[in-house]
Amino acid sequence: MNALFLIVIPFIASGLILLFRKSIIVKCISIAASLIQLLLTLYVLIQTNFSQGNILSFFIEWIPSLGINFSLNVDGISMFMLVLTNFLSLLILVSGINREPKRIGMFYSMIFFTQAAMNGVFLSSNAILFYIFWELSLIPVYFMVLFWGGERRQAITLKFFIYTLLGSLFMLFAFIFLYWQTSGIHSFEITDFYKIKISPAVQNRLFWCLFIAFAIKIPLFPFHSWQPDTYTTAPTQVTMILSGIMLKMGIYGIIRWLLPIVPQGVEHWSNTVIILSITGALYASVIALKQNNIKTLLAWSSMAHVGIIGAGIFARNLYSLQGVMLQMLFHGINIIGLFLVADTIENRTGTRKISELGGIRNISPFFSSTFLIIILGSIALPLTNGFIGEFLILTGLFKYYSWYSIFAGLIVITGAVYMLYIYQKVMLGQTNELSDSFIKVPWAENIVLIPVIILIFLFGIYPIPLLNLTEISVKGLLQMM
Amino acid sequence: MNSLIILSITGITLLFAGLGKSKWVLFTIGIAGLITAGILTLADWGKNEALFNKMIIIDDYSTAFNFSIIFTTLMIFLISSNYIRNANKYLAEIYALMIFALIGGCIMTSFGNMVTLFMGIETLSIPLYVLAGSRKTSIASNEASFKYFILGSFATAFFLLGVALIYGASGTFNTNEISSYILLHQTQIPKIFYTGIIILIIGLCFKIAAIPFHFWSPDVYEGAPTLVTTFMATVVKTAGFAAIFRLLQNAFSNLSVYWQTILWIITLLTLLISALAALNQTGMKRLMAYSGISNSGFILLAVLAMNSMSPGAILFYTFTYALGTIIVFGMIMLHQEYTGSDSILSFEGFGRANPVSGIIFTLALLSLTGIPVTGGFFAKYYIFLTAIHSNFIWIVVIGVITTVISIYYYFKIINALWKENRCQKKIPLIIPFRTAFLICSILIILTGIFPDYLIRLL
Repeated sequence: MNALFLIVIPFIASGLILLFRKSIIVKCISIAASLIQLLLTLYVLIQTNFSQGNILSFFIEWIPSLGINFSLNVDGISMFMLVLTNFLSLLILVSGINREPKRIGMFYSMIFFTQAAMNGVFLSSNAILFYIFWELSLIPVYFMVLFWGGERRQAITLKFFIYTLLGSLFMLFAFIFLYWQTSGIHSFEITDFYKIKISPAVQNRLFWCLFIAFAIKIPLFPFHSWQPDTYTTAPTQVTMILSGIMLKMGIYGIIRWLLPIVPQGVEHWSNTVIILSITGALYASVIALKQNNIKTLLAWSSMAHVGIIGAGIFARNLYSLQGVMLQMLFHGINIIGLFLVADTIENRTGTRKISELGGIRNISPFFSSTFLIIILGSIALPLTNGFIGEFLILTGLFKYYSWYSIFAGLIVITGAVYMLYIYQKVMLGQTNELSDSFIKVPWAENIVLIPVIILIFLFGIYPIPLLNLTEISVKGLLQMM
Repeated sequence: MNSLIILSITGITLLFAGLGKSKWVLFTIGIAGLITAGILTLADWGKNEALFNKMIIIDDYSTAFNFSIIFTTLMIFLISSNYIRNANKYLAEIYALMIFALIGGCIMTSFGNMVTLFMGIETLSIPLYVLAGSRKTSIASNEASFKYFILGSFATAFFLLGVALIYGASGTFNTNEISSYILLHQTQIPKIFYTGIIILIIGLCFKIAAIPFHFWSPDVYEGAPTLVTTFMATVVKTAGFAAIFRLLQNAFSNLSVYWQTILWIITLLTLLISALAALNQTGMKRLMAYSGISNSGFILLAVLAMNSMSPGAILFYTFTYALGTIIVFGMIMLHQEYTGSDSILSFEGFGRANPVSGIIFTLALLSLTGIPVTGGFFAKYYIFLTAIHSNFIWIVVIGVITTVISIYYYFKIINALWKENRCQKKIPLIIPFRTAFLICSILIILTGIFPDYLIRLL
């Protein structure tokens, strides 16, 4: 058993699905493949003892003359990300069970392609390999939005693509620069990158080259302007991939490829980044308050939540980093739930305008209760998962500098305002004409919502296993800085 | 060397075969000649010999580039099968001239003496002046030919002046002797020598269409028949870069500090201006002309860096760029034949009507942009690696920014290809076309997955 399987299986699934045209077969195969992938990941998770170093590594020379190897490695952090990716992918696939996009085989094939590439991102321990997977995960997303997206998708995809590629090219530049700094035989291996000694002045510049790539992907203020449009126009499943998983690639990138490589640069800029993140998150919250389109509102809210995560990373202590790890998973779960609810509403009523909706609770109480629970998770009510993550991050920020945590706390409060505002406008009140068309929600949508709710409570009440999983690696990371 | 003989025989045979009626005979002769020449070139691998008093030097560098341009010409011959179908009257001449130009290209990669280089450039250019005007009745084609001829001769004159000045100072045409002259007279090199270098570089930059010597390129690309444009964008560019690098490395590498400043400015201008100019283009051929200039800028980065990695980077870049360009121009040719237009707008829905062609087209554009896992990614990557190795940091940053700009215009085409549009018709592909597209797209992916085999050659 080695880590390569986790990349190869989705690739095979991606190719296999292309052979079929019938919707039902495609869905069955994709869910089966996704389930196998998840089980395999969990098997790896159980089998591995992370305190004893890396067992699952895979190494084969690819372009030896340039130090590019196909080297994969699993530690606690990447294991956590793998579980997140493969679990959320399954959830995303199941959520599409009663959607019928055109050329469904192609669509699902691209989803698997993205999944494979994202697994590659979290596994690779060679900089160029990381970069290649990073880009590969972007290509199918581009085409999915282009083919299946909503209005104005041509312009929006282009903006999205240029934005993200701008970031990644600077990252490539930084990697090449680092390559020439490695001692002895030059190499792109991350272990060699960790050994480089770089002068503080250079680190300060290199920091931005790397940081821009990750900040655009997350997105952190002020690199966010692609995000609301893309989230709104993309097909819901793609939005879920983008917000649930792909965004975490950026956070993972900061943790793995930024903090340990340019520690002094991070030291120098961390206040700037925290202030930017918190300002951005506040700004996003204020804009979210004014939105009328549910999907756009959720996009801004996602940005606000991620802003807190961004600030948490740069507080760089055990609390905040543990919080960041947990919040990555929890944010993924919650945002997928929220987008699914938004999509269901749009599917039933034909609108996503908050002002045109109302009184859905009168028709479908179960659906509206699940929505409320996901909202509560998202606004970090105690006993829900969001609370654990955000509390840890706020504690970490408080330890770093107490004023930061006060402003970050404000974001949580505004979050509650706009989230409950949607609930009130959409679910409560008089049932109007549009909402009247909201017939009973079929089981398939509930079946996705139920695990989401279970997870929200489960992790909210008992987060210890997750904390244990990440603790060793986070401590290791802190030692490196 | 044998390959040059074979090519010359092929060219002359083609002219005579033009007397016959069947156009497919010409096609077959051309393909057979090119394949033989390609194989003979490969047989030269590992040889290191100087011929005709060191006028021509055959080494791995020249062999690799020769094979690359012969291969490219072969692909162009395959996509020329369109001309046969349309019963082009002057096909024999077009083929023969193309082969003669190719011979010029082969001489340009293997010169040991500046006079040989001059001969190579002229042998390459004169057939091209004619080829650009080969669509006799078209005004645009005539204009292209005329413009190319006037400006081309001007550049040649410049080049000759540079050679003369350098000869005046050093007393030799031989590149290695010039190099040792520089070493011997380090402090007392006369001013005319430096002037000569600048003028030489200008003359060569014209051929590769580097800014500010690029003004001919968009008009000529647009006016010339698409097949000729393809030839200019691939073979001429590859040969030009092979020559410019060989000259600078063999003769002037000891003065690199001096000419690197000039080349640095040219590279900067080429990268920036071409990217900005390409943004507003509406015609595909003009857009590809600017994209070609921008790619010249990237290759110039490797020339500028002038280290042990440069030859490999240049070879790899020119080769993968040629692969992508052949596909794009092949598609333009097909499309033009059916719709009569080459504007980007007219391509809307092309991919939906022809899914396979659309995918290949998209792949080629992704490669030109430099997205992994295509050859284009590693091409750009090697260029950046090479340039940073020689400490050219800031210009690489400019390169990165222009790459980002280039995404806009390449992806504009991709977006257009896949737009919904019911007016597009299905365009059938004949077998030679399919072969060329298939070979090129497989090579694009192969160079993207196993770049090592190509890059390690030089």
